[in-house]
Amino acid sequence: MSDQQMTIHLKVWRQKGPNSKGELVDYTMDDVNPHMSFLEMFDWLNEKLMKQGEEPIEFDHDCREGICGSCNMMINGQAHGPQKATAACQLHMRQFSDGDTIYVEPWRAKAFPIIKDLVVDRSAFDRIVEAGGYVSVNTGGAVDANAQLIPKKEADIAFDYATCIGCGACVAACPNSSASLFTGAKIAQFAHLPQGEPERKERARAMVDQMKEEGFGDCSNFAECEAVCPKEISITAIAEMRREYVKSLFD
Amino acid sequence: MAQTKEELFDAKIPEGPLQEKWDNHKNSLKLLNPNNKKKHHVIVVGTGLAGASASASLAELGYNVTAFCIQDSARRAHSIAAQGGINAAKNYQNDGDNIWRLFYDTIKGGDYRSREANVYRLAQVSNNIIDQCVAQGVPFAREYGGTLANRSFGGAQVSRTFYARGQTGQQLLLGAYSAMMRQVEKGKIKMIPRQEMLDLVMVDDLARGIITRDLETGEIQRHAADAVLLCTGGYGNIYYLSTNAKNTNASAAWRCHKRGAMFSNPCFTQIHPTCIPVSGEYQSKLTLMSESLRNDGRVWVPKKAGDDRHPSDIPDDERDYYLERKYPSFGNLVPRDVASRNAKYVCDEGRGVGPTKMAVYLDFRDAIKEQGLDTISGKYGNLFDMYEKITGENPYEVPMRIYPAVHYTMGGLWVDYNLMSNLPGLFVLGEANFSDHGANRLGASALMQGLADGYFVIPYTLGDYIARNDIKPVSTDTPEFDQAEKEVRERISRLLDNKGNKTVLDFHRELGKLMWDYVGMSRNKEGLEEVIGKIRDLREEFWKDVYVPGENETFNKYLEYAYRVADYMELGEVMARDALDREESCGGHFREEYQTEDGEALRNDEEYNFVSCWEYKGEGEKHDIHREPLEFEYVTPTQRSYK
Amino acid sequence: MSKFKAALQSQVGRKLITGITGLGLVLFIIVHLLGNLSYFGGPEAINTYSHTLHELGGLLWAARLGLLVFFLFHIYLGISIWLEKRRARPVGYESYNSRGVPSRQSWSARSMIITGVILLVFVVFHLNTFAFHDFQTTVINGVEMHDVHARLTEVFQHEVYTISYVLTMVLLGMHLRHGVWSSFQSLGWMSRNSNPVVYSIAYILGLIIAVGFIGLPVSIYFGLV
Repeated sequence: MSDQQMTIHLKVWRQKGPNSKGELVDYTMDDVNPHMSFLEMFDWLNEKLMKQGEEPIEFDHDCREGICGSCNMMINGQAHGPQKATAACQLHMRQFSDGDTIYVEPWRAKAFPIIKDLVVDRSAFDRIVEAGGYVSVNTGGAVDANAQLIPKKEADIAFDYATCIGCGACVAACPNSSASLFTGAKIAQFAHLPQGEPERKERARAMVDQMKEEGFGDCSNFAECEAVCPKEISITAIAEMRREYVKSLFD
Repeated sequence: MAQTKEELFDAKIPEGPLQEKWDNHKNSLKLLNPNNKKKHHVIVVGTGLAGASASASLAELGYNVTAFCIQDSARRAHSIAAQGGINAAKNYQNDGDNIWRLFYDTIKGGDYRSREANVYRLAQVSNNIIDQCVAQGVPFAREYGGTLANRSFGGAQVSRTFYARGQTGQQLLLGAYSAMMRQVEKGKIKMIPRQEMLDLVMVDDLARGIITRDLETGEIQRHAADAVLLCTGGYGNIYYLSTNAKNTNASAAWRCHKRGAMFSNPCFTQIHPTCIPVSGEYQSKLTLMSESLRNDGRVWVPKKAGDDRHPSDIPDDERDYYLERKYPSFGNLVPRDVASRNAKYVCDEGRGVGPTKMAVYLDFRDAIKEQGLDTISGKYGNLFDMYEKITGENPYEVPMRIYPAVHYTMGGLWVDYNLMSNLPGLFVLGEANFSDHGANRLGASALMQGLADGYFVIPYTLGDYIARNDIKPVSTDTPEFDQAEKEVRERISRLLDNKGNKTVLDFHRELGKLMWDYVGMSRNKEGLEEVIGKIRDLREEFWKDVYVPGENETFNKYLEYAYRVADYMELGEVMARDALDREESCGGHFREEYQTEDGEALRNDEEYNFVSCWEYKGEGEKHDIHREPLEFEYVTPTQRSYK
Repeated sequence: MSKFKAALQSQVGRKLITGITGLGLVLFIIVHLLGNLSYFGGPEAINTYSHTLHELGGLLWAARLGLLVFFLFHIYLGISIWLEKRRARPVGYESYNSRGVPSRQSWSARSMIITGVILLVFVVFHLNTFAFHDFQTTVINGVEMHDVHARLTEVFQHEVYTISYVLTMVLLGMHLRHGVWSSFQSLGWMSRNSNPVVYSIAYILGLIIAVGFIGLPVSIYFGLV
């Protein structure tokens, strides 16, 4: 693999505040190392901007190992960029070629208003969880952990759904801005666990209703969400959510 | 030696035999009746495992909780990145585990620099944690029969680690987060994300509130409460490059320290041996690779310094499998600190590999030959994939390159048995306190401690504090709040108005390098004395020449970064002082002057069997040290050996 | 009852109804196609088929009414989901690309609203051409009935009609390619294993229906029957 420095042309969305008008601004970086992560390229660019007295680009990031779900960039029109099962923070510049032009835009959805540049407000996701994404058990009230046996298969399925990092790529990539994969994953996780059983009806209804309340669009089964999900959560979650919802109507 | 202020450092260890201390203590704690709890208000800063579990548990009891986090959602706290697992003394495997053994392993692993009573309680409540998490729907790994699975972790001789693939921290945090969101829905918790604590407010010598900055709008806010719980994690980011998330920081703890809270054992930092090495100057953070890789991978470097050949062109007799050579019985499985230190030594000798020469090979060639590609890929497939994603190299064909990185800090604010700092009303939970891991933390114990503090300790001890002190509401409109807010504003203005020539990152990188070189894996008197001066100079330069862009009244990550690094500039000095003061080697603290003939850490139990407690004495002044003596009634400190 | 009403307005309910009505319409289309294919059996076959259908009387009207209700719901929801989607992302991307498999974001999936609206317009013209047309009559086995065969033969002599019919049927095929699979997913019938299978079946079904419908006008136009 080449260690040759690359020239990368960036078109980055700059927006001063929630109510300002934004625009794509061109930047050219002529010393991009292929081993840099995508966010490190932004750090590098920001250092240069500050040294020229320009305002750095704001973007959300934290763990930089693909688990906290903070980073959110639409890279060349794809949520988190071109690499499968990879959040923007783990995308490396070796995925691009010398001379490439890369568009970088924030997640776009009415439910994710822009705060500044590439930073958006994803609190709608918290409110969906608040509506029912939990098991109502108080601290101290638990029985022995092995008192209830859970088949390995079910536990594994629940785990697959539980790996959601709440980054919002599913919404960003969805042509309809639907939050169905996020919501479905949580509902489906609990649907496969006996702990989720007592509240499964209320949970499905409340979370689905909250999704609409927040202004996310309907799911038209494009499955783009599954393709961009850094944890590759299957749209089966959405089918499960719908099953749970329908079942919840019949007491 | 300065005088020990015994009265300040009463750890309030309950009477009675070790096994009965916690129960006795619970029996003696004062209770608040449910109606009274509703009248009390608690501030929780940070929403990692400790903060989220504390918030949820206290809200369930009836307290009104206001919780703050710097991330855009409580779910993103750095606990989420923990991979390995969580220990508990369940003995589900019938392999002879019990509370005593978990206690003993933890205190021994901590190289006998932690309190017996605290560690024993940790082991006791470990079992309740697993029950609680399972009840919340945390999808732990299971056996085909439906029972919970366990694995042996970090060299433990029993299988007591519960795990959820390589994402245990994530699953536990999401469990605590969802318990918390349930209380948000009920109106018992007010959750305020993107809000950073910048000062602690003391009223009548009690911790009564905090000053925060809204990270979206820059608004400086005042929040009052009956107690403040600090759950803000560790300070490993002081090294610039660490496995910590970019935004984790020491500022909240440091501000409490400057208001009078003692900082304990700051020099105890854990350096993890298997991280992906630095690839260039642009590097922003390091990624941990699970230590399980050392079960099958062989660590080596070329025998000859400056050997630039491709690893597969280096014949076996020109390779130095240095861990196997030096530690024939433990080989590649020596403890974290030993493995880390030896990697440093070979790189210092010029035998490091890769473009930066600051890495050693972790080679799976022989394991693949013996066990087959499928077996190895079954065990480590996801780790190999992650390695390839980051480095672009295929570890099935080319040996992995690894290097140690800062991972966890055992030191933190001093707390008593009730998790209360020496400032009444200020409680410190999780990695932010110093309490349970001594000089070295065992694998899969960080998650255990965070949740123990939040779910099972603070709900008891907080009520006792409030009941005993008859805490009445306080207004934010007091001179103390005025003063704290004023100081916060001044500090921010000073940073913004500075308009120097160097960026915050420039300074952080420099400070990190000083810390890594002098207060890192191995330390010595001369270096530590030297670095204290260097840190002071750098701090002075920082305040003269730092450039912070933009303004306060907007989303401004570089401003946040600036005040965090400003605090590191002060903390770094105290870490070096602590390392200098502790003239022994123990756990993560290795003083080159104090080692056995075999190069092992040599403790000095006669003189250094204490917790150091550093007291802030004012801007630019030297810190004072106090010492809380440690007593070992039930275990006898021994010397480790891995030969 | 209000629970069910709310459910119908929920994001799950809306797709559920879209899916059920869609599948209902697919059934109708299949029956319609089979009817069309009876043309190849000669005038007697198709005219008798049509006559038998009309003889059903009340039952036919009930079916027609049901079909209308399904159709209206399907259209209403389709448009409403489209409007909702525009509302949910007021500002679009400057650059947008699908990540590819496992995404189902095919050209047909993205153009459901366009193919749907064209199909709607087509149906109006189509009803005008056939259903509301004053048919000639013919006598088969002593029974007087509409001469559907003659009408079809006449209509598909015109190139404009034939070409637009053929093109619309291509669009119908596309609409079904995404629609059939999507309906099953909307009804929550998909699992990890059935997902790719049903997706392929939907593709084949869309193709068969389109080819089936196109076969008749093309054959008539080129005088193959």
